Amino acid sequence: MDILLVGPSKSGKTSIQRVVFKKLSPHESFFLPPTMSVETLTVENNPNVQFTIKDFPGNKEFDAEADRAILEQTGAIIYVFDAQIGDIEESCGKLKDIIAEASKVNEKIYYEVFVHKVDSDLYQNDDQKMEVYNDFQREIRNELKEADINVNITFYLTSIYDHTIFDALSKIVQKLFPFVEHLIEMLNSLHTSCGVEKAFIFDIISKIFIATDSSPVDITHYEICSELIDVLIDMSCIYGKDNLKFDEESSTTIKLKKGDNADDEAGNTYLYLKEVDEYLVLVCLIGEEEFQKKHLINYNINLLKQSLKEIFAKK
Amino acid sequence: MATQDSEKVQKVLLMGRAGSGKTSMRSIIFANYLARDTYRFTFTVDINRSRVRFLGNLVLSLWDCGGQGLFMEQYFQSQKDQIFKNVEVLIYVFEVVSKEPDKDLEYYKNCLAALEDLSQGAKIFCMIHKMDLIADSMRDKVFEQKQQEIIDVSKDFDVTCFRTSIWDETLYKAWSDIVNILLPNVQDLKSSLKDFCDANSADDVVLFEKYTFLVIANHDNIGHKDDHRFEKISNIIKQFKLSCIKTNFQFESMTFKNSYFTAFVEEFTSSTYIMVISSDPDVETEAISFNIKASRDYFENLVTDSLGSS
Repeated sequence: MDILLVGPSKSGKTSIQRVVFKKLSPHESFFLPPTMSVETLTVENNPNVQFTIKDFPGNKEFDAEADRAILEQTGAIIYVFDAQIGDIEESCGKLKDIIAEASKVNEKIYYEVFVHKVDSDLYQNDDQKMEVYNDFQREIRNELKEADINVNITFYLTSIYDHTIFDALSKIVQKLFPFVEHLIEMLNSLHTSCGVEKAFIFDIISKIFIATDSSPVDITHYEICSELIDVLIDMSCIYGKDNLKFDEESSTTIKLKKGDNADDEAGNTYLYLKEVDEYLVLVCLIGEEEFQKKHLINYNINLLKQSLKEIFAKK
Repeated sequence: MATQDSEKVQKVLLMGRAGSGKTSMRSIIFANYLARDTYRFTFTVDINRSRVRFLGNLVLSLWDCGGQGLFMEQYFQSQKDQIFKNVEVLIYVFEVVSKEPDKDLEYYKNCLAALEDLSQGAKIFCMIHKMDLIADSMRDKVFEQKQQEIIDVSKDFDVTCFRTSIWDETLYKAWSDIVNILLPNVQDLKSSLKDFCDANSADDVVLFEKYTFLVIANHDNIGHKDDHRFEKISNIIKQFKLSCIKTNFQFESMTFKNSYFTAFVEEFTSSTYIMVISSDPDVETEAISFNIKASRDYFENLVTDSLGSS
């Protein structure tokens, strides 16, 4: 499955790819040279969660005939729009052209729009972000209506300086794998049967989550879980044998007590991390009371782990 | 509870030319700033005095002295007595890539001269800062050279030089070494950590200060290959601690495991965290956890004693 990154030059496509998949510090992405030819990067940490990101040079245009081979393999097209300087009308026109050509070849492609770089001084509050988000959405819907093209587009507000970019890419990757639905079901039952507040399954290398239960995602929960993975990997690099970062026995338990100015509702919480498959971990937030029944949680996580193996085996 | 009498106030001067990074490093170590947030600081006007409490009873009175030329002149004239009296520690920050290296040394010499008059016996530390601006392969050479220049002008003073950067663990290393010198009785603490380490057949035991996560003392039973590991861990855990604060939580304990090791990081005495690393498969993790709890009171007293009797 391929994910294509397209959009005007200097909109931040390569930065996204480097920051998320190559761990480049966002501040250094400032100096990246323009992309001259297609850059391909395959994520294959787990044999069952593999996808390829294709980073195209700016303003790449597609042609149903010439690019047939590429489009047939494509699962999602991400259009990156620079919210700082981008021209909405022009961008929407280009995106419409891409959609028109691509949908001739492959009807199953998901279209995703990143309203990107909303971290600048222009967007100090959420209202301003929503405004550009809505403008873009309205404009592209009009364009598509006029051209009589009927596809689904999802919009995201993103920035490489915070976790929004990871969140958006996670949601896109999840669309590409049908087994994610089963994972969500399993996480839901973990949620109901063991009182797990929130559960994520992460690819630990890219820190993209490939599934979470159906309760709404609080971005701070995602943040803390993703930081936890960093700490585990760093500690394992220092104390693991032969710099072994991660293995079947990898696990972490963190006890968090509520801060001084937290509301009274919040009690102590545990962060619990367990390996579930090659380079995949389950990270849960669990209330103190529920965590007393750790054996029950472990038992259920083991069941989840086995089911996951069965799902992967059937594929 | 700490009373006024048992408090020990030590005056620490933080000096260096304008823009050398004094306020940035102070904020990262003592005020929970992230390195990337420090670029917003403008220059310090005159002197910024702050008190930091360290290990409960040790109070550092930090004098962050703005490095603009104009202020510098005043320091050595009208304000000389006020600034250079009763100084325990001088930390002088040199920017490794400096436009006027001669002037840096000039000011530094003035500081030493003032200390010679007013605070004999002050401890001198020099930080050769912003090492990240030097290419990796050149760092050793550049550092040696700078260090020699500094030692040459320091004459009778005994100086310790550190190479630092706010972007990696070197900053923690330098500050850990400095605070260690301010703890006269840290030896007892070290030998007790050794006993604790042996009793648990652990590999590594480290005591971190609660707020700064600077290393106070440690014992290493197996001779770990990486000498900078504690500073790295200080850095890693402090980052995590800051993200916890954002979500309105504080972490109390952490356990990390893989098939080779188990690491505990736990709130220990009222002013420290302890880290215990074990790789012995015969040792139950619960046992270590229990031992940590059991020895808490004993170490509480030791930590207080490490500050020296008042």
